[in-house]
Formats: sequence, C-alpha cells, structure tokens
Amino acid sequence: MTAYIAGNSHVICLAEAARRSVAGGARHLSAKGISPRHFTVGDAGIFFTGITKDTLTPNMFGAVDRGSLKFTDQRFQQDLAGWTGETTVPATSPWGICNVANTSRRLYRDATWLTFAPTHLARAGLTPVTDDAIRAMLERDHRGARKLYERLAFLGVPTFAISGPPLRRDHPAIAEDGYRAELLQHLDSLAREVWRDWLVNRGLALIEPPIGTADADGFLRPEFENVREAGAADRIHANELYGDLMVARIAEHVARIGA
Amino acid sequence: MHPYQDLPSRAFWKQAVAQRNAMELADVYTPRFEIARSTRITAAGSCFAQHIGKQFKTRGYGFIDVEPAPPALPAEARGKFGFGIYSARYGNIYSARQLVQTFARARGEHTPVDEYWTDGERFYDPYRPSIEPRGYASLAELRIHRDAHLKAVSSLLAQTDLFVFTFGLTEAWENIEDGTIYPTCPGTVHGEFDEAKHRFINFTFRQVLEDFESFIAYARSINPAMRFLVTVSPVPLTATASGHHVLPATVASKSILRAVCGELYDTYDYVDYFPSYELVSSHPMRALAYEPNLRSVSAAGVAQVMDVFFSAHGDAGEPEPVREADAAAAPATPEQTADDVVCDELILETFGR
Repeated sequence: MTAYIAGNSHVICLAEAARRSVAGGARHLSAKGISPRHFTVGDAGIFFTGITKDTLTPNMFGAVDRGSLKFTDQRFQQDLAGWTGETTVPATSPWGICNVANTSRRLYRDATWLTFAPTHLARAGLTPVTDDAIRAMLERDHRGARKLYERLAFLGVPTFAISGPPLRRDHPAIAEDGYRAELLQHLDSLAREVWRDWLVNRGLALIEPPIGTADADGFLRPEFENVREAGAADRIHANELYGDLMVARIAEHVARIGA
Repeated sequence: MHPYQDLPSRAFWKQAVAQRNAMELADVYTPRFEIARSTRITAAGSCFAQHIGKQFKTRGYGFIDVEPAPPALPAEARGKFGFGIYSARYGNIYSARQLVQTFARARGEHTPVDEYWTDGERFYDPYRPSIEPRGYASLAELRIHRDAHLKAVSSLLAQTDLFVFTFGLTEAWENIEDGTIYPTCPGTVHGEFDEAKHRFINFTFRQVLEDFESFIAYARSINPAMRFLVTVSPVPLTATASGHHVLPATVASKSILRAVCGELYDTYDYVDYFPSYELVSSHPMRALAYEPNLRSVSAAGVAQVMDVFFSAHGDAGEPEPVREADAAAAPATPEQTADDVVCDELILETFGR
C-alpha cells in the first residue's frame, strides 16, 4: 500500500525532509525506486505529490474505475506518471491532505480586520466580533477544501488530514499588512479548531504539528522557519527540520494504517 | 349635490375593491411626501419591517446601517447574526415602548436592572436575545458587544431623514422593577421566567400613542426635519397571553396599532402611513398573501405589497427577487419561511400546545 501525501506548498518541506532523512540513513524511511518523492516505511509506501504548481481541487479526482482512482487533471496525471509510471492509483490507497483549509491566508489578510476584531482584541475604533461569527467566516473559507474531502469520501478513497505548520511571527498579515500578532494567532487557533471539529465529525484522522515546534504564544519557533537563499522572504513555510519531525509522525500513521 | 358626488373611484368600495382583482387595487396608497434615493432611511420594527428595510437597500435607497457586517462574514450568515436586517443590530422591536427604551438605553438614560440571561455556560442579551444565536462566552463579552451596539444606535438618529417603523404587537412582557420591555417573553428564546420579576402587559391605544409620540419628540430633537413612515405588521400573534382566543386577541392588537397609526397620521404632517397591513390581511385579499399557516406572509405577498409602495413613489425599479426558492432551500423548521427566519416571536410556537 502506498499513501499519497498531497496538498499545497507546505508539502515541500515534508518531501525534502523525507529525502534528506533517507540520504542521511534514517531508519524509519527508505527510498523506493529512483523517485526522490517515493519512500518506504515498514510495509507501506509514501509518495509526496501535489508539490508542482498544480492546484489540488475536488475535480482532479475524476472517478474510480475497476478499483483504480482516475484523475481528470492532466498535469497531475503526467506528474504522477513521470515519477511512478502509473496514471492511476489503487482506490484503496490512502490520501493525506496537507494544510488544505486548516489555516486560512485569505481570511487572515482580509480587510475585515482593519475595522473589526475578535471581542477581546477590540480596542477603540474596532468593532467586536464574536468567535461564532468568525467561525462562520472560516466555514465559508473552508468550503472548497471540504468539497475535496467530500469528493474523496464519495469515491470511497481513504483520507486523512495533515496540519500545516504553526503560523510564523513574520506572517505576511503581520509583517506586511500590519495586523497584530494576537489577532493572527486567535484567527489561526479558531481556524484549526473549526477544521479539527469538521474532520472529527467525519471520523477523519488529523496529524497535528509536533509538540515543541510552537512557542508559548503558538507561533512556529524560529529554528523551524524556512529561509530562502534568494528572492522574496519566505514568511509562510517551515523548514526541513520541522519536516523531519512531521514526516516521522506521518510515517507512523501510514505504518499504522498500512498494517 | 352631496359630498360623495365628485369623489374619485378609490373612495367607493364597489369600484375600488369589489370590482377589482384584489392584487391590483389602484391608488390604495398615496404618499404624503417624497422619498428619494438620497433620503437617509432608518428602519426598525417587528418581523415584517425586515422586508421594508431589505427593499430599500435592494433598490438603492440611502438605507442607513450603523452596524454593518464584517466584510468576510458570508452573506448567508449575516441574518443569523442580525446584520443587515435593520439599521442597527437591535433585532426585532415589537412595540413603541421597546423602541423608546432602546434609544433611552443608547443615550444612557435607561439602564435595565436585568442585565443578562445565562444558562450557566453562555450569556444572552435580554433585549436582543437572538442577535448571537449561541450567546456570548462571558458576561464581559456581552458587555463589550452591548456597549458597542448602543454606541452605534446613539449615532443613528443624527444620520436619519426618514424613520420607518412597523408596529408589531401590543402584548409584551416587562420587568416589574423598572418597566423594561423584553422583546420576547423570558424563558422562551432564552432566560428564565419568574412571575415575581416579570409581568404581562397589553398596551392600550393611549399607551402606544404616547410612547410613539415620545419617540417622535426625541427623534426630532436630534433632527427637527425628521419624518416618519409607519406601518402595521400583518403577521398575526403567534400566541396570546391575554386570556382571550388568539384570533380576537390578534384583531384587537392590530386594531389598536392601526388606530394609533391613523392618529399619528392625522396629527402630524410629517408622519405617513403605508397600508401594508390592509394589503395583506384585509378580507378582500382572501389571505392570498399568507402561507398555509395563515400567519407567515409569502414571498409573493411581500413582493406585491412592496411593489405597491414603490410604485406609489414612482419607483418601478427591480424588486428584490422572490425568495421562495431560497426559503425552500434551507428551512429551519418545516413551516419556516423567509419571513420568519429572524422572528423571535416564532419561538413561541415551540412552546405552544
């Protein structure tokens, strides 16, 4: 059985961490074939995907035909075939979806927070908003991601969720938009709560960030921040050190469900 | 010669009503003054007032909203949190006394002794118990939201040229100690009923008139040019605590409110009356505008009534789309319709037999 780990750009540090772990002689992972994204953990395999510019959408999961999951997104299919030689995967293969919905960059940077604030942060000039109203905003924001999970459930594909890393203190909403760190931390904790509740209600497992990767305020500790060598500063992603810890948790989960 | 000889056909029952399609009555409303799109309009009142406010907004009038929704709050969730329904998040205001007290609280001249309701976990504002469906996490949070709300309300009248009010009920529940009116009977939506603290009141003609006149006086002290448009909700009482049958109790209540509107119209040339009540509930309409429960007004009925209003004002613009499909898409209860979505009074049905 191979588990497919897909998602947005946060998958990169996971894949890179896995690759480095294997190169460094890690015992819990080993390379599978020539692909730098394909690994073996126990009797199971892990394949990191969705790390191209292709967008992970419900529509890419076309149908299940004779036990195989078919994809409608040609770019994704080509990417998969390029690394594995396959254009379909067994429908029984689990999919771990990383950081789709549990944090909400759109909402965090929304102009709403120029004039509104969660009740406990509503200083003069800011209108208070209850957490219930914020939850309603988040639910709307998560709608597309929920459709992705619902699509996979409809097709009978086993799915689990992988949390994105804790927010960074230099998140664009703080460093570029000027929003308060407390605001971002509050929104993020609600986003994760709403997302966790939704998953739990559907019996879906969630792999949370490893303990110790966040500071006392809930932000990603500096040693786990990704640093770009060139170009614009990275204010979003965790690094391979964080990926190492997270991949160990994913490998543990995959080994468990593969047993 | 006699006084009836030269009257227009609208003065005669036969030509104006009996010989016409009930849904196509002509000249049933003649505006007393112009309402332009530049007119700054504030709305409050019972459930039916929601339609009036919505129509003003949809048609591009200067509808005042001092507590707009956060932009990120999805449109479908706004009504649930009391956003965009009236000119502030005061919820339904069923009586003139409640209206007067709402503005007295906003200017700090009335502080109810009953500050909050709690079920032990969540806290509710007794004067807008449905504004946050699950209440507030703490008393401190309730106070922050209440203060922000009252501050917004206190700014409302200075921005208003036309105040639209829909009278809903004469029956209410008041706090015995300080006379504060509750929008819903304690213990129905939230809170707990205590006969030592709460008592029933059925406002008389004189009381309703005096209350609204007191509101007019206050509003015009803020803006001496303010005008008023009053209506009576055609939605019957969900339940009566008067001891009478709910039908005569409803007729008595609506009759008082209708008479008050007439008195206000006759007394003040800056008060207009729009007969939405008659257009929905009078017998020539044969209850066509009601849902099968004979209480809720159908989307088509609302549209017809509002067309009469805006046509009379020379506005044949696009009315709000009929929302029957919307109402059918996500009914909260089998009988619930668009008109009832934010109607606290409906909760009484839960407690009825």
